[in-house]
Amino acid sequence: MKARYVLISLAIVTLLGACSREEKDLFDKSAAQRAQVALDNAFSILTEETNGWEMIYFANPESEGYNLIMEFDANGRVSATAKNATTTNNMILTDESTWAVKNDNGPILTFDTYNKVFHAWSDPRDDGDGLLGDYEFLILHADANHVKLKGKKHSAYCYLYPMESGKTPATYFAEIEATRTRFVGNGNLFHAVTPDGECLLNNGSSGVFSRSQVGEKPAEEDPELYPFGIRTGGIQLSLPLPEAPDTWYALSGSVFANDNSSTIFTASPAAYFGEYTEIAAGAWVVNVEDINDISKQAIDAVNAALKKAYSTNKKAAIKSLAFSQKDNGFVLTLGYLGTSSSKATEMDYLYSFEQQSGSVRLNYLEPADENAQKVLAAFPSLEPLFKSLNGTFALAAGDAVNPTLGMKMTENSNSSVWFNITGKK
Amino acid sequence: MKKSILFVCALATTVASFATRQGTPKKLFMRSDVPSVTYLEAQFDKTAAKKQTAADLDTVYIPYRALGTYQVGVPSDGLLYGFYQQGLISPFTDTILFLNNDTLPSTWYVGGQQVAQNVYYKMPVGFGEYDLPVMKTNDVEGYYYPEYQVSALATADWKTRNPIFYNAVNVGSAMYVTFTKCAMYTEDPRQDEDGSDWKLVSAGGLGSYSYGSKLTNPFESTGGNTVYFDTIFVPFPQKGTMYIDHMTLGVYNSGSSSADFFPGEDDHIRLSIYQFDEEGNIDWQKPIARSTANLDNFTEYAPGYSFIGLLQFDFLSKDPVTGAETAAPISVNGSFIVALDEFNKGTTNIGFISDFYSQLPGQTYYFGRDSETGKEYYTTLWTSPSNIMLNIVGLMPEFVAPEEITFKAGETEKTLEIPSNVWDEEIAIDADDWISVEIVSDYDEEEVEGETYYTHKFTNFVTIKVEPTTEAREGEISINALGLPVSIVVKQDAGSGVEIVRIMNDNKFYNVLGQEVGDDYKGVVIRNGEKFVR
Repeated sequence: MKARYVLISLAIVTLLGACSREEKDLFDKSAAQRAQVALDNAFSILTEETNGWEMIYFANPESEGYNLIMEFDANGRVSATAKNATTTNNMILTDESTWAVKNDNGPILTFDTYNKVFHAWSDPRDDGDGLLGDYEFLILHADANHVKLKGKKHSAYCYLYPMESGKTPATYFAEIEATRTRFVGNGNLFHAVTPDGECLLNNGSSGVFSRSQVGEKPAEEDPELYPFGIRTGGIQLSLPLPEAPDTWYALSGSVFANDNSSTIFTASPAAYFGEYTEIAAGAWVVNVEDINDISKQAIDAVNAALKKAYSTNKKAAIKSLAFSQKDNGFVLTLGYLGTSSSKATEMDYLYSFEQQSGSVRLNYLEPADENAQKVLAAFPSLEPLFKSLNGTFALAAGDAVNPTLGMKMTENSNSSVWFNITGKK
Repeated sequence: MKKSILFVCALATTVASFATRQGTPKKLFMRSDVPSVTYLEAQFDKTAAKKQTAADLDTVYIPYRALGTYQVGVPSDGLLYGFYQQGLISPFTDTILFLNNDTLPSTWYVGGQQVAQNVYYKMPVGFGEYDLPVMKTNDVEGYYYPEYQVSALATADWKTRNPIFYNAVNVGSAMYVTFTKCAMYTEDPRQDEDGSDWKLVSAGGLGSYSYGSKLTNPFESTGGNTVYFDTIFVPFPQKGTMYIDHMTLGVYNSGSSSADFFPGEDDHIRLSIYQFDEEGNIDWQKPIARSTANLDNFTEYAPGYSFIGLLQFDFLSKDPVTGAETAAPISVNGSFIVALDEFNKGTTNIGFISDFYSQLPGQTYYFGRDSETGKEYYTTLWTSPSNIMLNIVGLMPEFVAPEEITFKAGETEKTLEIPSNVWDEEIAIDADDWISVEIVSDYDEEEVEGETYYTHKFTNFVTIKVEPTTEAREGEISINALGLPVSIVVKQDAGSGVEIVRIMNDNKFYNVLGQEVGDDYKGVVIRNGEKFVR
């Protein structure tokens, strides 16, 4: 009974309240005022950053992330500096133009006069499309540490971060290039390990990851593309992966991690050797100069035989040894200068390859074809060389961020058997 | 277009079904034309050509609508392609020689007039002479189908200069083969016997024609009709050297999608290159290069009833030490013919692609340049829907030249670096005429295990000729090395002479003037780019 009175009383109070003539604003300012506040906020954030901004510009949702240095001044001038192969022919190029923030269904950042650096992507060029880039952006977020934009026409997300003080464009772009090489050079391959699963990020060298399931190559038709940009501190995705909502992955030790480290990108050497050849279609190039004594002696013997056989070619010698996965199996490709003093002849020799826990087992089998057999018959000292690379090898990456930059392979039971490899793709 | 193809195919099928006997394949010659010289010039991008890389080389054009589809013949016969000189189109280019060893034409018309039997055909002076008598037999089998042993029916009577070149071959009453849009050209420098110039009358190329479908495997003994078309385009007096490391052939199959007809991984096509000698003769027993392409890597563009694709022929060289075959470019120094002379899938109709298929990528290839006249020989593939896909990729991956040449200009010693990959035709000289660089190449014949192989050996003949001058001069030699343009600035001080250095790497001795000297020569000698004092 008491409950009934209570309910009735509440209903009366509610209904009385509904009759009130005073409507309380949900916002404390009008829409126009609020828009102006957002514009003012964006304007002040962009102009008050005295060091300028590092912009990761994605021209469109399938475009790699380009690095720009943007400096906005309060008089409506903007300076854009870039260095890339696509629009500046790898030269550092700066141009000034004007910019503005305006209201158009939201705060818009517009580069409203032509800037030969910035508008290179949005210039329609002769074909009417050009590089399909944007020059007007919806400002999705802006604070002193981070600005997030969305291209008005092509909807790619772009990101701005404050530039470090005292960094010249030359220094900045040199660092970016070195970082890019370190992170994704030679087609480095990442495992994205997330709370909701794991996937592979391939083809990093292109600036656009191709996502695939672990153990699978990216789809040849309609691959899942995740463009990214490089910053010295990490990797900036344009769009988040399906498994994780974040787009910024900071370098943390030898992995790239999101803010709470729940998701990491890692190039694990344990499975990396095989994945690099099978998934990424890369090759492991053996350093024939810096190699264990047995192999070195074998190489010297082969070189001596080559020089004798091709006496007119002073350069006759082994030029390269590289492991890769080909149609006919896992092979070591021998490259040598014989009849030619400049173009290496290449022959394939089959190996068995087994990825073991933290190591790789290699075992020479036979020539891959008749021609390789003939070369082996002519230079039997090749066989000891091939066999010198047999064994079960532990892998040690020089830089675990990117094992393709160099790994040392050391035989588990005989540490005097070792060789160094670098990735090539 | 589709209708005409279907009609032609229907005719071919009809005729093929009438065939009852397979005769001995004979060689046929057919010559075709090019559509327009000016068009070729317009297509040729010299700037791009100078930036060639192995991936985007520019080379050879196959004449527009030169041929439709063909059956590739037996090893001794086959489909032949030759190449012509841009800018100098012979009026003979459309002369057609037709040899049909089964379903033979009962009448051959040229210019609307029946040509007499036992006609002969002369190739342009310097390129040989062919006398192909018509040998008509009266061996007729079946009701409709006269059968001839051989019928070689030849040329348009050029002396009469028929205003419209039109050839028709009547095969019984059921089929005729038409060659249309053939051409005579205006700019041919040669003259008729009466002294008048040849004039362009029409242009276009060989049009559609038909032949028997249900083609018989020439290796089988069963009957059927087989028509062989061999083609020669006018060989041109090429003086430059072309380097070929592979050819790409467009292939067309109009057969059934049945595995019996489809080329598969067990099938192959062989391509041979024959070179004309100075007298214009070809030794058919001695190709300068051969390459066999298996069809397992055949790239299909239009699977299904008819498909086309690209087939790559790599040229291989046999390593004299190991005997292993490795990819190596061949050099062709003069006119040549490409022949498809072996195909083990006789049931499949395969050949060069006609304009029916337009989806193949167009490409342009640089061909060569006559260093004496400056005339460029090049061809381009049409990017329009009329593509014949036979691309020759010229590449010079190896040039065994001296790495550098040192010469003196006054007191200053200069080093001329010779890039290892020099395209000998791409030397530009911007230094008046006081410097010239000549690089000559050759190829060697080697015998390995009883087989003759032809390997390129560039003789690396580099000559620098500098005339003494009283004025200071500066010039630049730019040598394009397939994507590696190299510029060498050459300076000469006033009043100085310049030492002439001539270097060859053929193990012979030369004096400092570049003259070959004997073993007993005393003084400074140069061998393979190195100076000695004897």
